[in-house]
Amino acid sequence: MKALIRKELRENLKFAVPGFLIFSLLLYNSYSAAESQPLVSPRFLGPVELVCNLFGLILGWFQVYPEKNRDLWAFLIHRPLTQTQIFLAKAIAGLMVYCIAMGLPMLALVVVASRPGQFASPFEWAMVWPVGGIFPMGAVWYFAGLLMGLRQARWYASRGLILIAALCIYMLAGIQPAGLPGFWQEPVMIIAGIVLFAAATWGAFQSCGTDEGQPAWGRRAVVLSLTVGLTLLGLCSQILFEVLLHGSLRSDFTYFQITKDGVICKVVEKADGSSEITDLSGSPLPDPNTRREASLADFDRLVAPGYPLNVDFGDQSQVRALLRPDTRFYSSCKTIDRIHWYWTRAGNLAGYDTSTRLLADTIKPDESVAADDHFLRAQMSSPTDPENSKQKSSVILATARHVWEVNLEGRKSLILFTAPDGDVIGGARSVGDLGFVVVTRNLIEMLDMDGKLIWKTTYKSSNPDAIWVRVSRLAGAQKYAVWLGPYQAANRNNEVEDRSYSQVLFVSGESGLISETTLPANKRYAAGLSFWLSALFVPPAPLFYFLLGWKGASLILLLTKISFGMAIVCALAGWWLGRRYQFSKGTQIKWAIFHLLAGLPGFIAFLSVQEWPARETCPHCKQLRVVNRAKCEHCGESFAPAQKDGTEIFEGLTEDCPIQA
Amino acid sequence: MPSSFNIEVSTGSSTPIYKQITDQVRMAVASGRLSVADQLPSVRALAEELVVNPNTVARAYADLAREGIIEARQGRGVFIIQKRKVFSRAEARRRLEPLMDALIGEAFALDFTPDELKDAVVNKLEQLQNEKKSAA
Amino acid sequence: MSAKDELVIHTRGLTRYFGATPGVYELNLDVPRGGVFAFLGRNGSGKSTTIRMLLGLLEPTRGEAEILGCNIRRLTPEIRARIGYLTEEHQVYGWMSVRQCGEFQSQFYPRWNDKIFRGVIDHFSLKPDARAKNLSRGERAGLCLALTLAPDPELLILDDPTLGLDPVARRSLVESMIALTRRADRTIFFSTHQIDDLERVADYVAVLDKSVMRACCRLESFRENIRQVRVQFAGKPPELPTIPGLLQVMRNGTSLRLLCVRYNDDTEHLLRTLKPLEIETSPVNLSDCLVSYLGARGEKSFILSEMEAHS
Repeated sequence: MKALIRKELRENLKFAVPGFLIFSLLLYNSYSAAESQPLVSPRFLGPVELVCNLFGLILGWFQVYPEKNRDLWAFLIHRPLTQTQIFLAKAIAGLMVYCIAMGLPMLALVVVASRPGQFASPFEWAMVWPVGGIFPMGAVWYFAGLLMGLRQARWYASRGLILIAALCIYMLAGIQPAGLPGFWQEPVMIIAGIVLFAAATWGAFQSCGTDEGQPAWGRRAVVLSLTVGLTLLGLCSQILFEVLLHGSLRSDFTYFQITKDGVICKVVEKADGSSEITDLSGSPLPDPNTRREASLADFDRLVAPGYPLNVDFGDQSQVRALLRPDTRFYSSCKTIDRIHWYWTRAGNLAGYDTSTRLLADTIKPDESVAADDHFLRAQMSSPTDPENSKQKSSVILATARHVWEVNLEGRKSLILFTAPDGDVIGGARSVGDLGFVVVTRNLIEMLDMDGKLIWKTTYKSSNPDAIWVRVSRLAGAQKYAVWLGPYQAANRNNEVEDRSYSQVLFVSGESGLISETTLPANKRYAAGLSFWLSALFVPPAPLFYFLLGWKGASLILLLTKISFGMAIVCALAGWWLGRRYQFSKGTQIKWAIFHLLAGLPGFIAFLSVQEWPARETCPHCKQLRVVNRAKCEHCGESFAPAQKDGTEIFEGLTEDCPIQA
Repeated sequence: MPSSFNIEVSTGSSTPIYKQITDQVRMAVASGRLSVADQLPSVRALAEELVVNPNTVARAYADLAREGIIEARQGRGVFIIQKRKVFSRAEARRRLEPLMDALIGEAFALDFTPDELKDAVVNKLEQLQNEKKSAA
Repeated sequence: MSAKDELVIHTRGLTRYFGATPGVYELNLDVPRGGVFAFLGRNGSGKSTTIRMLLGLLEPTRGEAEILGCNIRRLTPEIRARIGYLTEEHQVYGWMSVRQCGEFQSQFYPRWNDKIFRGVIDHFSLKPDARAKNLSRGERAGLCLALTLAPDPELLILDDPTLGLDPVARRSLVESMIALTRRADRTIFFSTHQIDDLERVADYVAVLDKSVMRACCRLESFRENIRQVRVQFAGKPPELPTIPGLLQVMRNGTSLRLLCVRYNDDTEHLLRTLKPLEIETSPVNLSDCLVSYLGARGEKSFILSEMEAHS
């Protein structure tokens, strides 16, 4: 087997070398162009991911496909090795090539980045996790490429489906449906992907790429791969239907805004590009200049400046932040005096000199803050367009108990606001250069930059863990509108109404809360025909999972019913086919369970992978019988030997012929 | 094997290869090119020289042995032996009959007169006699 | 030792369908140990399919087969080490040199005999440092033969080995096959279209006709069973009754030329009922035997004479 590995390595050198060079070039380019830590910057990680995955795919494909010539394949297979060993030899060699071509440059970059003075940004060893996730993903694409190259495509799409399946797994590794702990999804998906494609490839090696003669686990893996690919296609089919039926993808987009005069308006941006702007009573908003109906461009001039806050008392923002690799570790702040400041997980502000790229200084405003504890709850904003040079170099920082003003130049921090006992700050931000707004569990307050109160009000939030807040500055002295809205999680269970903001509080500096308005609810996107049609293409199994998590969502329930109905139809069709082609009882039952879980995509995969033997008329009982059984399933007769035509010559082969010396 | 005797076989003939070998050996013995105690190549050697299956050569040698023309001596090789009279006179004449028919038929087809044919036969016999004498 | 132990290949009802058409139908083939077994048939009659099934490269639709006593669906590495397989395309990895091919292959086989490898290489006059992709077809055939023979296989399976080879390479290949028969326990199983090589080298022959085996016997038996019969008539020859074993019949003016299997007294009796002037039988050369056996049964006429008649 070692000889085979060596031969594979030698053959695939022609990919390793260019891959290594291209990748090294890419990394060097990023290294010299990077301003902050490349290991966590999405602009760097994006191309790296693309190169790794593409390289894996190409490597896998070309390791097998050129050898698919019938006789060259026979040359490979017919030697004293089991087909499993041949598969392992190819896989080991391929993975070695991948590690050398992709792994070595990445390792070099990690080593370089870990040394101080290379990048003007924080570094910790945990930052290796993002690339640590990208690197093995290439192995999933490698096995997918290997499988694609190996399979004998009976219909063109069966190879393409594997590509789509790999894409699906790649997307699942990155997308975060609510409720899953963010960190484990990627490794789990990668391992699942590798196991799936490797098992399918191993099975394909046993049967030389055909679907017949595959061992059971190989066949199951292939069916699962095709199902995953078909599912993604099915999900995308909704988009296709949408485009076919409506001609575009957009639907109406409705939101609320407020003018400088304090009039709340409802804006509907339609799918055809036009827009409708009305006030809350429904009458269209006139343009004060032209007296005609205001267009969107005109309206933008009338809108009051708004300052949104992400307010979070719980862990929602942590999950959100994990989506972006850089915000997992630090938040980028400001650059003052050629020192770039970051808020880090250690609970402090770290400044890096942009010329020497070394750590210049750290400021820890809140000594009581434990590392990582309040990292993401510390929100920063900077006063905009300040004339005051003092404010130019300062930053507003909110932790759970205080709002700080941190002077980055002088390295001094000042408490501007302290939450009352028992209360917790959820967020704060500056409002222009007029001051800042802070939101606690009970209060919303606005203070000026010296810490003096401008206005404050209490509020009622429907969701205790998180709310959306936006402060709009109206015309007139110290007049503001405060928008409040429930967070995404609350919307989830409410499938009819979709509320971004639900109420507006009018406040002023003199009188505090003036008035309150409740905003009407938006209708949620009504599911059209395309939506229901695409339900046919989605397997029931993932929908069952969503149903468990999203209790009471009747839309999902209906979707599941349609999908499951389709699955039952498929199971029945599969049962009928099984009887016609003489599957064993055990096989029938297993396939029926599979069809109930996998629906239409699984059924199509089943049709493509299963062997469908031809059927002939049995001369004895005159019924159609399958040709892959020795005995007729109806009457038990064996197949008739070939018709003789009188010219057969069969004579014993056992006569001896003496050979003399 | 005596240098003057070479077996040649050709494919694509109506005569099987083994029969070509036996015919040629028989002809050689009859014409005196091979005499008693001459050695023929071993089965394997002849097979490799003619590029034919050894079993073919073995069958030829077996037939020749059955007719009493050759004999295999253990460990030493294959030798021509005295052709024993295996056939009775009548049987021998019966075997000759079709060959004579063929010869005469062919000669007449080629417009030989009976006298010309007789001359040709006599000449041929003389020629063989001379060859035998010079080989001895 | 029962007769079955002496069978290197044994199939029972081996069948393979391509879609709804059988490529190989109910094949019952027994190949005895020792000797050279030729496997014949027209293109597309199922020879390559059978060989690929026997070597575990293609899954049979139904039926059983054993090669060297091992079920073909579960060939072990140990059995594969004892079988040599030469394909018709003589494929090797083009980037390897002749010597590297030998070194590569030798690491898989415990019984690799380097003398045999070098012997065959020299026989075909190959340079050890030549790259495989630069070799001519005949040279590549020699290289593949060397790679196949060096592990000293018990059973050598050749799928149309002389296809596309020049006469010198062909002759070298046939010589190598004969040299292999030095050992009585070595068997060669090969498929071919070259009737000359077949005549030289085969002990046994099996004939496939449109996925069905029609003959399996010794080569001499095959020849002896087919005879040419010339039937002379006074005038135009009459219509023929059904003659058992008839392969072909050709009309030539006032005579008929028949090729028959197992021509015996009964057949002669049947012909005599047509009241011919003369019936004459003669043996047939192997080429004509095979062409008529492999061709379509029944009456044949010369295409060219038809064309002349109509013009």
